[in-house]
Formats: sequence, C-alpha cells, structure tokens
Amino acid sequence: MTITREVDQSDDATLIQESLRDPELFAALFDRHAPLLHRYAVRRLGPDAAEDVVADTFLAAFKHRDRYDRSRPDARPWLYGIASNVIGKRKRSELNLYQAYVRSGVHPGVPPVEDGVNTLAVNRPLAAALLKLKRADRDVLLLVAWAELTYEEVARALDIPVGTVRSRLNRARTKIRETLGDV
Amino acid sequence: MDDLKTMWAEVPVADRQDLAPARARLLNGMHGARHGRAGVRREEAGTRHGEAGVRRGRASVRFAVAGGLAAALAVGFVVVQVVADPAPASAQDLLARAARTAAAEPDLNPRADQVVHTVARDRSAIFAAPDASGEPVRMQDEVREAWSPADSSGAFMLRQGDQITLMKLCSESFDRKRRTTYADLASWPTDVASLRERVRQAAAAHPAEPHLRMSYTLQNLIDKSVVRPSLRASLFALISEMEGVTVKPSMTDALGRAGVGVRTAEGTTLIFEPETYRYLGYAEENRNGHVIASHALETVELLDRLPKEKVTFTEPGCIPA
Repeated sequence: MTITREVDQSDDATLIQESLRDPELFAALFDRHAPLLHRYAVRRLGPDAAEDVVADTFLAAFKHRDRYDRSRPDARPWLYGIASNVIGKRKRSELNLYQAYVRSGVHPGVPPVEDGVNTLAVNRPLAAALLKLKRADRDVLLLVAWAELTYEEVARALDIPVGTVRSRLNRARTKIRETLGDV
Repeated sequence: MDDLKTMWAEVPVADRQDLAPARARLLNGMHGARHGRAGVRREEAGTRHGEAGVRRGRASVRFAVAGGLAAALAVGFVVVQVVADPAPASAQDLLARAARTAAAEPDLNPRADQVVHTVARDRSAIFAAPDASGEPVRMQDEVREAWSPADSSGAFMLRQGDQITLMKLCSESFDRKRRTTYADLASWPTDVASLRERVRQAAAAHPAEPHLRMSYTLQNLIDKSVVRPSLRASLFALISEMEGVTVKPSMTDALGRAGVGVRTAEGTTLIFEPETYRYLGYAEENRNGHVIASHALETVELLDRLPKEKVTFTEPGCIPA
C-alpha cells in the first residue's frame, strides 16, 4: 500500500494535475469534497437524488479535469458549478421537494428535531419562497447560503461576473422578502 | 439570510457508507474511461456503475477484474485514511470489514431472461495418494467460462479449454429441491436474522452430513451472490457466527493474488484482498492442511443472450449445476 500523504496534503489543483498522469488519484478529490457536496445536494433535492448528483458531478469533473484552471488551488467552486448544472437538470425534482415540504413539513433528509414546530414555522415560508425564485437566482442564493461560497467563488462556479452574482443575490433576497414580508 | 443558512442545516454530512455508491460509480467511470470502453465493467465483488457505462435499465452491463480499479480503491482508501487500518483482530473483525466492502457494491439483480456470464480460474492439486493425503505432486489450473441463464430455464454454455459445451440446467438440484437461481437471489432477505432463518431452512434440506450442511449452503450462496453483493455482506455476517472460524493471514487465490483468509472449521477458506477486504475467492484444504482446490472469479457480467459460439458438444439431459 502506497502512502500518499503528499497527495493528501496537496491542494486540489495539484491533485487534479497529478490525476492526468495517474487517474486513480482523482478519487482523493472525491474523498475531500464529496461529503459536503452530498449534504448540499440533499438539502436541494433530497437524499434519493443526492447520490446521483454527487456521482454525476465527480464523473463530469473527471471527464473534464484537463480543463481545470491550475491557478485555482481550491476546486470547490468548480465542483459546485458542475453540481449546479447537474441539479439544474433536475429542476422539477427540486421544486417537488419544496412543494412537498410546504405541504407536509417534512424534508426527507432532515432527522426529526425537538423544536420541530418552531423550525417548521421558519422553514415552511422559506421553502415556499424558494419555489418562486428563478433557477439562476436560486443557484446563486443557495451557493452562498448553503455551500458557503464567497461571491467570487460563486462567480467562478457559475462562470458569471461577480456583479451578476450580486445582482442575482439582491433579486433573490428581494423576492424572498416580498414573499415572507420580512426575512 | 441567517434563517436561510440554518434551513435544513440538520442534514448530516455524509459518511463513507453514504458515499460508497457514488464513489464506486466514480471509480468505475474512471476505470472505463481509462480503458476506453463504452460499457462499464465490474471487478468481481466490486460493482461500479459509471457515467460512460451503466445506465439504469441498460440492456447489457459489463463487469470485469482489472488491477487498475483495485489500485484505485487502494489509493482512495489511503487518501481518506492516510494511516492504514490495523490488521483485523479476529475472523469476525475481518468478516465485518469484508461485509462493509460488499455492502457498498451495487447489486446486479439480473432479470429472469438474462444470462450471467462468469470467468473463473480453478486450481486443483494433483496427489499421488488416491485419498488426496500428503503433499500434492503438482497444481493444475483451469479457466472455466460459463454462461448461465439467470432463472435456469434456458441453455447453459460452458467453455473449458477449446471445448464449448451446451447443456441444460436441471430445474431441481440433486436433492430434488428447486434450485436457487441467480434471479431468485433478489428475494432473499439481507437482514441477518431473516437470512439466518432462510439459510437454516435451505441447509436442513442439504444432503450433506449434518455438520457440513450450513457451511456448504453458505458457500454455495456466497458463490452465487456475485450478482448480489448486498446479500453476500449478510452471508459474511453468518459465517462470522460459525464456531471455529479463524484468520489465515497469508493466502493465495487461484489467480496468484495475495490475500487474507477466514477459515471455517470445515476447511474452507474465504480469501479477501488484504487492503480493501474485497472477496477474491476460496480455497479448500485436506486434513493435512494442504490446499487441494481454489477458486477465483475473474469476471461477472450480465448479457441479454448467449453469445454466438461454435458449440463442440451438446450434453443430453440436464446437469444439477
């Protein structure tokens, strides 16, 4: 067994670069980022679709890894950008999840919580508000809120100018305020 | 925005088990891309659905052994763990690890009208003594390629060397019971308690000596569960409950691959890949501790029909395979 501590401590860009020579190393990128990307996908689509989103995201990333910008040591924006496209193809599933939550108050990926009543009181209107957003605005909003990407990282993820990120975020927030009355 | 950030924040971060299917698909896709195949193959006991290959509902799903994928598993595992797991403390520990590995592999679940194609290497010891005691004189290898109807209703084809034999499988096994087919395995339970009861029922009808029935039944099911690793995982749990199972730290399978083994009191040793605990095959010993036969599966794949091969012999009647 070859200990790959060097790889483990390398930045993502190095890992991706090395994987062009030794493809199996790409699995290390999965191990590094899949747990949180999976969680993001569960929040957006539910647990059933999350597995497919993660697999499709990393398979697409592997396929196009030769195009990765090596000046970017952190691959999260790249991966979440791909994931956004994958999720976008399942727009109907996402909307169905929010609608089901609004109706039932149950998100299939969330374990029951003690203060479920209070949580519902907050989350239900938010889910209803997310339903009304344009997909492009929802992507930006949730990449910031749930994936915790910076504006610049979201811009790289979605391949749009930072100014567009700001405008979409503002539009999303405004729409949510209108829906909720206040957030 | 704060409310939005905390919305569904209770969703847990996925662990290795949660991610195993997606990781397996990635590894298989990587492997398929590396070898330029449109279809995705599977390393035995390591089913990998891949982007470029398996699609749900695809008619033909290919799987095969390849060193590259094993390497991928090993590398990924090291990267996650960095420090390798300590050696298994017991046969039960080893089998638990093997069960986790098997459970992470997607099932093939052949349709009744499909054909299960397997390529296996069998190694047999040739003894001077007629009772197979003492040390073997030499070892004899044989590649056994079989195309078996998933529900046993169609023709069974076998390639051994240059000879291709076509035959039918008997619908009943030697004990006049309906044979358990590959397709049947989909209905077997994977929760250990239910499976234990089902295996006991099957073992009770086995014609072997009573003390061997459970072991033989489990081994038969482990072999057949190449198409359903989730069941194999639970079968390993049942093996770990058997009295007298021990670790054999150094084993070699019929393909010459190094492995670690779990030996049952009856003399069968299950062989596992030493780093991932992927199931490789098994070996049988004589009473002197010499391996008299070993078996390793190289390839398992599902086909929609038998391939067109020039049959050299057609066996009349049926065989109770």
